[in-house]
Amino acid sequence: MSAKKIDSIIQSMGELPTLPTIYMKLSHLLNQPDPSIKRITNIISEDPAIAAMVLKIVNTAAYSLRNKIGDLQHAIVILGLNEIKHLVLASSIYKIVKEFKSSSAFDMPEFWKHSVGCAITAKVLAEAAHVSNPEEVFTAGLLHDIGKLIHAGHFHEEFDAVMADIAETGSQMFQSEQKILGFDHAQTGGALAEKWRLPPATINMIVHHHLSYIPGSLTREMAAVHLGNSLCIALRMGSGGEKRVPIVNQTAWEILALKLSDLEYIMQRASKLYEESASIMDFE
Amino acid sequence: MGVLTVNDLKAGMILAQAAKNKNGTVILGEGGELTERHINAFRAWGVTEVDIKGIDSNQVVQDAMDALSSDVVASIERELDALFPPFEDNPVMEEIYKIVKKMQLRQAANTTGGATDVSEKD
Repeated sequence: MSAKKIDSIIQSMGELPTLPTIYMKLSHLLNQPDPSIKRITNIISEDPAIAAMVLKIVNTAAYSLRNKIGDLQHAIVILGLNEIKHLVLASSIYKIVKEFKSSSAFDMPEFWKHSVGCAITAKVLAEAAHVSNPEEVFTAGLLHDIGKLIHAGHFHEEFDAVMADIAETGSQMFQSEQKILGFDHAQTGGALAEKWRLPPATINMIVHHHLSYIPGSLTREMAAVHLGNSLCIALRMGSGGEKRVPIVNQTAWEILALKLSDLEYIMQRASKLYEESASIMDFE
Repeated sequence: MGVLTVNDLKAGMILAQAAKNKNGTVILGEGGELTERHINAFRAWGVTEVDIKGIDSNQVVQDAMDALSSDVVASIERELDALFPPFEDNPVMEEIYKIVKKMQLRQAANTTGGATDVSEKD
């Protein structure tokens, strides 16, 4: 199905999750020359739930900072403007997932754990492979399955049929979706990310996280999210509804230029960071 | 020699290579004999694995496995076989399977108190 068609499906859905206004304001401000830290702090503080989540994420072990960061301004100074933007986006996604009304077949806390698990694992991979922007990979990992949320919210019957098909055939969810809906959650997620005007690199990491074929534009960031997804399912970090570990694409593995002997450390480190990130996983 | 993760270390083992932290600072040099204090220091400094003399790291997993009841091992294998699709000729998938199995066996060995007798406080 063409991107245009998916786009029109997305448009026809009416009520879609929107990114909090503070993310838009922040993006706008960061595009201007020499934005002041004070103004950035003020904008983020307008949404206390997001501000609190930014601090929670920064203080998880995944960020490996030596000392706890207690206030937002300090976080911005230490992390820099680009990274704070990714963090606000990550916090916004948490808010969207938490507030989303799901169909009964979809377990939202498990979905969020899977998203966090993929984000952490993909970031660990990106760091091990010396990819230049591990934070962007983290955010894309959080977002990679966001299309499932849309499907669960807007196509109740089809979604139940997809879940039944996975249980029966052991297919990956995107294969069952293509069979039943005619398109898959990676495409829907990509269209939503586009609507949110996220950076093209992030959209590509979402659209191509299955790597069922190799796009001409394959990047190491895309490979990190793809492999991170398989690893976090193998390590049973939450569940996005998949029954089996997606087969890792060999070309994606090769582009990361890691050794097989690196994997054990990567998986142990990701598990440890995941366990230590419980503070961003509760839905209370 | 063989590389062991910190959880598998025992007092009395001899280092085949110096154990260093992330910044390259040597915590215990080559040939050093481990004590419980060293093992705790490795944990504190974030050293996750060290190279030990006269150890085959596969043997350690084998020992942990041997100490587990065949029921436990069979149930872990059953679960993994359901979780992993067939992956012939995919060395990455093979490695992931091996590592997950090792992690689960180790976890099972630790919770049943079977294979590792390193006493841990807090």
